[in-house]
Order: sequence, then C-alpha cells, then structure tokens
Amino acid sequence: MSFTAWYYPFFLFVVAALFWQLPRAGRWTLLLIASYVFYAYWDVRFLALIGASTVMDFLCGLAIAGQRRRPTAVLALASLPVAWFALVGWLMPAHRESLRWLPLALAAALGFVLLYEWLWRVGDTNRGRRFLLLHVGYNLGLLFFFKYFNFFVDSASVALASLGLGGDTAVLQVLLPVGISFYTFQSIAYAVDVYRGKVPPVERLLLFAAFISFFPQLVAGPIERARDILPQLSEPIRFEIRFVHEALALLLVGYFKKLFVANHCALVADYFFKGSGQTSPAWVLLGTLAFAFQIYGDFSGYTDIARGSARLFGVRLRQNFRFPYWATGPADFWTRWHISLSSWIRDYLYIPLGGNREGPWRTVRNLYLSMLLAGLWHGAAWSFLLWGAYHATLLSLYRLTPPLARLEQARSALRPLAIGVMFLFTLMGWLIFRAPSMSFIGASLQSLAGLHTAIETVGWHGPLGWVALHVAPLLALQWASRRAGDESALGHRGWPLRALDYSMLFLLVASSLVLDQEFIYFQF
Amino acid sequence: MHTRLLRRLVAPAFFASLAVLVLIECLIRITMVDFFSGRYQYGFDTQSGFVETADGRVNFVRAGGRRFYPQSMTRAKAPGTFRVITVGDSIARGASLEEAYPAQFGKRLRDQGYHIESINLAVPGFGSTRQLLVLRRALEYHPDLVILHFGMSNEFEDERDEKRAAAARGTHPRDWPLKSYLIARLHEYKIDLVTPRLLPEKIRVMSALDDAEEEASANRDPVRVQGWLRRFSSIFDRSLAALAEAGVPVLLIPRVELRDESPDTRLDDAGLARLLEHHLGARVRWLDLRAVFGEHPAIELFSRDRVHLHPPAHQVLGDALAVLIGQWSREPGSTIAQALARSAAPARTQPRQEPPAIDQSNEKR
Repeated sequence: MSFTAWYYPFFLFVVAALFWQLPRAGRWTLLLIASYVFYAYWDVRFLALIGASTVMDFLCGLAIAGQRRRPTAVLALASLPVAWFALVGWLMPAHRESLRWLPLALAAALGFVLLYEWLWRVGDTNRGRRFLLLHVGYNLGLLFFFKYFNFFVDSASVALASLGLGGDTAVLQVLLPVGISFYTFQSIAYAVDVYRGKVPPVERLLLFAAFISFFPQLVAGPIERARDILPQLSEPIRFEIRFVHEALALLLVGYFKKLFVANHCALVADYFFKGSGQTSPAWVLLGTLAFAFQIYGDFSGYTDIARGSARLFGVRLRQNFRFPYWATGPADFWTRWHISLSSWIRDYLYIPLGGNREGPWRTVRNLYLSMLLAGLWHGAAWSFLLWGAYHATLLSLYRLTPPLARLEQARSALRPLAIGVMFLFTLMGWLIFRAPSMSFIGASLQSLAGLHTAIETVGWHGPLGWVALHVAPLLALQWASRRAGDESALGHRGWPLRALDYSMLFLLVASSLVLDQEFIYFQF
Repeated sequence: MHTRLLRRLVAPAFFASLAVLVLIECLIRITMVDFFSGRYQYGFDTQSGFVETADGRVNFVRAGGRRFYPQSMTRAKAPGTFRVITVGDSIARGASLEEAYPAQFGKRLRDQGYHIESINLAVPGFGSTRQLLVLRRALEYHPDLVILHFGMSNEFEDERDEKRAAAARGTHPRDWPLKSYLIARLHEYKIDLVTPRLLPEKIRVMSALDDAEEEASANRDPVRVQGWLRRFSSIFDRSLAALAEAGVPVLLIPRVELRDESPDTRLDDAGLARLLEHHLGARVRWLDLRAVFGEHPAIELFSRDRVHLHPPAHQVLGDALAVLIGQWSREPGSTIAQALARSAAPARTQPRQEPPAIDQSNEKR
C-alpha cells in the first residue's frame, strides 16, 4: 500500500482509532496485523520474507544475549514463513509459478535451524559473536539474493559476452521486495546493539515483529534504532489530542512535498533523463536541478508522512532530513540528508573500521568503504556505486584540502559561497545517481562543457519556470521552519500564521492530486 | 471550561485554516453561480450555454464546457424570419464567428433579400453524443433548418469528457477533492493555463498530461474505433429521429479531410456519405464537400492539420450552402420553400431585418 493511495488515509485513521481502544498487548498485535496488510498490498509473498527475517532476527537477538529456545519451537517458527509461501503459491494461481523457489526457501529455513542448534553446541566462547555473525550473514544473504542477484548475474553475462563467452543469458529474475534494504539495516542495527549491550533482547515475538514491520516506516524508513522505538511501542501510553495535531501537520507537509514538489519536478527531470544527455548546457543543469528537488521532495515527503502516521500511534520517528541543500560541505550534507542511513553507516561501519582516528589515508579508505556501501545500499547499479565513490571523493577532498575544510566551516560571508559550491557538487552527484547509463553521464558532461551541438529542440525557459513555481513554496516552507531546526515543523509559529500555512499547503496538495507517481525510495 | 476543552480538542490553527477554506468555498459558491453552473459537466449538462432572459431573448454563452460563440436571438421566432442553426465541432465553428460558413451563407441569403437568422452552435471537440444534446436543446427554438456538420473524429473527446463529468458527479473518495469548487478551479487553472504555458507539448505528452498520444493510440485501436462507429451510427439515427419528430428539415455535411492521394481522391469522408444513403428525403439533404471543394487548390482551403478549414474554404462553403438552400426553396411544396418564402415576402415592404446580435469580440477557437 502506498502512502499516496486514496485509501491510505482511511486505513491509517481506522487503525489509529482501533489502536487507542485496545490494551497494550492488543496494540502490538493490531499494529502487526495492520503492517502485514500494508505490506501484503504490494505482494502477499513478501510476508514470507519479512516473516523469515523477523523470526531469524528474533531468535538470534535472544541467542546473542544467551537465551535459547527449544529446537521444536525454533523449527516451528522457522517453518511459518515457508508454510505461508507454500500456501500462497498453492491457493493463488497467479503466484503458483513461484513455488519453484519452495525447495530453496525450505533449505534456507532448515539450514538456519541446523546452524542455530550447532552454534549452541560448539561451546560458550564467543557465542554471542557467532550468533551476531549468523544474523548479519543471513540478513545480508537475503539482501544480496533479492536485491543484487539479478545485477550480478546480468553483469556477469555482459562481461562474458564481451569476452565472446556469452551463452544463454536468460536467468531467473528475482522480484525485489520493497523496503528490504530498510528493514534489513534496522534489524542488523538491533542485533549489533544487543551484542554491544545497548538494548536488551526483545522476548516477545509479536512485539519484535511489530518493531520490524511497523508500517509507517517499513518500506522507506527512517531506519530506526531499537532503543528509540521499542520503548515507545512497549510502554503504555495514554492518548493525547496533540498526537493527532502533530500527525496532521506532518502529513500535510509530507503530502505537499511529495504531491506538489516532487511529482511536478519529476515531469521535467523525467524528460531530461529519458533523453540521450546530448543537449544544451541549460538543459543539463535544469534536468538535474529538477531531479534534485524531485528526489528531495519525494524522500523527505515520504519521511514526513511516515513520521505523521507514526505520531498517530504516539510514536515519534527520527528526523531524516534537515535542510540538506543548505549544507556547506559534504560532511555537513551527510548530517542533513537521509540522516538515519548516514548515522547507521557511521555507527555500524565507519567508526568500527577506525573512523578518522588512524591517520588520513585510513580515514580516506574508511570513507570510501562507507560511501560505496551507501551507494550500493540504494541498489544494484553501477551508477549508485559511482555516486558513492563520488561522495567519498568529495568527503576526502574536503577533509584533506585545508581551504575546502575551512570553507565548510565558514560562518561568515563565505557561507553562501560554501552552500552554493556544495549545492553544485550535490547536483553533480544527482546527475550520476539518476543517469540511466554511463554514456548518458559522459554525454551530459560534454553538453555541459559545450563540446557538442545540442540536438534538443524543447526550450528550457518554460520548464525552468515550472520547476521554480513548484520549488518556491518549498523554500518558503523552509524559511518558515528555519528556527525550529526541523524542516517540517511549523509549530513554533503563531496560530494565525500556521492557519495560513496549512490553508496554502492544503490547497497546493489538493490541486496536485491528479499526478500519481510512486515514491522513488520504495525501490531501495 | 468549554472553550478550554474545545481549544484542546481543536487546534486553533487547524480550526482557523478550515474556517478560511470553508469561507472561501462558500463565497465562491455564492458569487460565482453562473461561472460554475454546469462547468464540470464538460458539455454534458443539458442546459449549459443557453441563457434565457426576461425580455424573451436567448443568449448563447460559453458555459458548462460549451464554448459557444456569444450570440443572441429572440426565444420566439419573429414572423417572417428564417432561422438556421448549425451544430457541429471546431470545423463548423471556424476561426471566428464572422468568418465561419454559417455567417457566410447567412450574409449571402440576406443579400438576396431573405430575413435569415443563422446561429452557429458548433463547439470544438464535441462528438456525436454532445452534439445530440445541443441539437435537442436547439430544437426547442423552432429552427426552420438545422445544419448538422458531422464526423467521427471527436468520439475520443466525448468519452474522455464523459469520464470527467462522471468523476465530478462521482462519490468515490478519489473524486471528493473535486467537489470543492475552489479546488476544482485551482486544478483547472493549473491544467488549462499554467501547464500548457510552461511545459512544452513534448513533456506534457510524455507525462500523460496531454492525451494526444493516448488519442492517437486509441485511433489505431480497431476495437475502440468499431465501438465508436457503432455509437456514432446509433446517435446519428437518434439525431435524425429528433429532427423528424420536430418536423425540422436538416442539411447534413459529412466531414472531409485532405489525403495525399491523387487529386481525384484527395478528399476523404471516411465513408460517412454511405451512412446517409437510407436517410435522405424531402426533409433530409446533404452537401458533399468533396464536390464543393473539388475544384479549389487544397492549400487555400485546409489548414496544416488537413482537417480544419481556412477562411476561403468557409466562403466557398457559404456560397455553396446559399445556392443549395436557394435550390431547395424552389422545390414546390417543401417546408424550406414555404419558410423562405415567408421570410422573403416582408422584405419588399419593410426595412431589412438586422442579422442576429453578434458579440464583436472576434473570439478565436
């Protein structure tokens, strides 16, 4: 189910109304059912995957903390997702074809049960670490299989073909479950935190399942930490009307960013990126600028809708964006853009690798490893890897070049220059990110340098006006919320001004309902 | 205490915002009644565009999706007036009221001493369904002759606008926002004015904001075309039945378009003439545009889309219609002859009657 589906607001408010009528334990169950319904709307088979991930993470979390479950219970739990998969394939003719994967699913479940039992038997030394490795290995295995399998098989086919060894390139195409990157990373963070002793393991399966599948942030984050969310889900809270007020304000801002800003900028961005890249310099800049605001409006809009939806249940999700295009340098940018991912990479990869504590070259290595992972996390494509490498290069340059480092720290008249320079670097990054091919990037860069004649016949003045028309209200919103520190918060303004804000936002959203486009970050 | 409770339950900002929006909506509904009357019926509202005034006149206005040229006539036909109403689409509508052929043949016949009232009720993009609605309404004003300029090129538009009108009437939650005149108007303003002005056609078509591509694809779909043909034939029969019931003679003009073939076959009516064969009679005549335009150079007659007519073509057509109506009027016993004779007789003794009042805004298509 998408947040932009017409039935989503009904779904959300009905679930919220039921939620507050139930006792605490009933609330988790309701949230779990609602989350599974929400997820199953894309594909009922996805429930088998998230179920398997949940069961495995739950058992590993307990094992890391030294708690063992009986083999029969482990076997029963591990069988549940496989049974669901088989049931769906058996009952629904449309999914019958996927039954060919059943032996693999069965083998994975049995393999997990055997490994689980074996790890309990091999001794107490480093048991927690071994279960952490099992947890991370299984999660990354699932992620690799569902997200990168096609990419590597296709890339291998292309490489073999280029060597004249290509045979039949028809391979099994694997369906990409939406949101898998988000909940896999959230789950890994949970296991590592349990291992580090930062959070106790969750002992109730339903509560843990509700934590993993909490529908407002299931498919596109923010990637939450167990220590932030679990207490909010498990502590008894009383309904307060401010939850509804805060939720409505966030939902309104989120829908504004998605429907008004992102969907309209998408028209210009799509036109540019569906071309050849061989165009005028103005179109390269305009197309990339349009995409910059499309992806920002899309993803930060999604986050705001997620935060607003969660707030209806009394849950406060973390801020994922903080005025990212006002960053003065790459390090600053990554504290403002997709904060939940960048902080995840910082906490669970960059710092464990040594961070910046082991000299400049180790720091550069760590930056490259971290940013390449950030790129690869977005998807299995060379453009994402290149984008990660590009940002690693930027981070390294700013860190190793004193003038750039000073520019990033500028607090004086140089600050606008720093923001402008970083924004141009960011645009360059988006060009790489969205480019459909390497040749497109090359053609666009050549166009930008005026190295070839533009074949584009469509003028850029009108589309520039179109982008400006749809970005200006966003900038006005940011101006209004600049003092709150939260780019989506208007609560600090007096109620008459807020009334005006809400009216304008509502009208802009309502007049944009015709453009129906899916969220970009669902694919990651 | 109640106030405090209310303030807790309803945040002042949301309440004020809601109040402002409701107030604007109410103001719009009160002050812009005419503007919104039938507006979101896209021509399917039976009354739109016909405004009867207290002094016994009927004004034809642009309203409810009916882009009529501003014209006026008396509700009850003045004695001795020959009233002709033309129903069609953008081709009959012409680039301006004065240049279009209904005004041209009206002028020719007035020059011959007849009291002619020629009303052009052609609307761009109207297919057979909406033309029938306009025709039925027009028949209430007792025309002496109806000119039905018909073709099958607007069935896609009829279908599309029927869906839009249904959405405006619909109760599905997806349609709820458009129930508000404020939102509907904002949306319309954006789609009709802002989008075409800022986004080039290529981008609009690619983003499905412009349905030209969809229309082209529908035109290539034999199943849809067959469906249109069946509907068109049925509505064509109903139109002629309505005219027969009202006892009004009709002059049918099948649409033609320019093809690339040899000069003999360069004008194609897509087989429309065949539809007429079993309908023709004393009250039903037709004008073959292939014959009318046959001798003239195509470049002077057709615009670049090979369908719409340049002003010289409207003049040629106006001449041809004046001749045809004149011939028809000379046939003994025909309704046209009697009506035209009545309209001609007083002209010899009374000052020539003025043509119908025409708004001189020279509105373009």
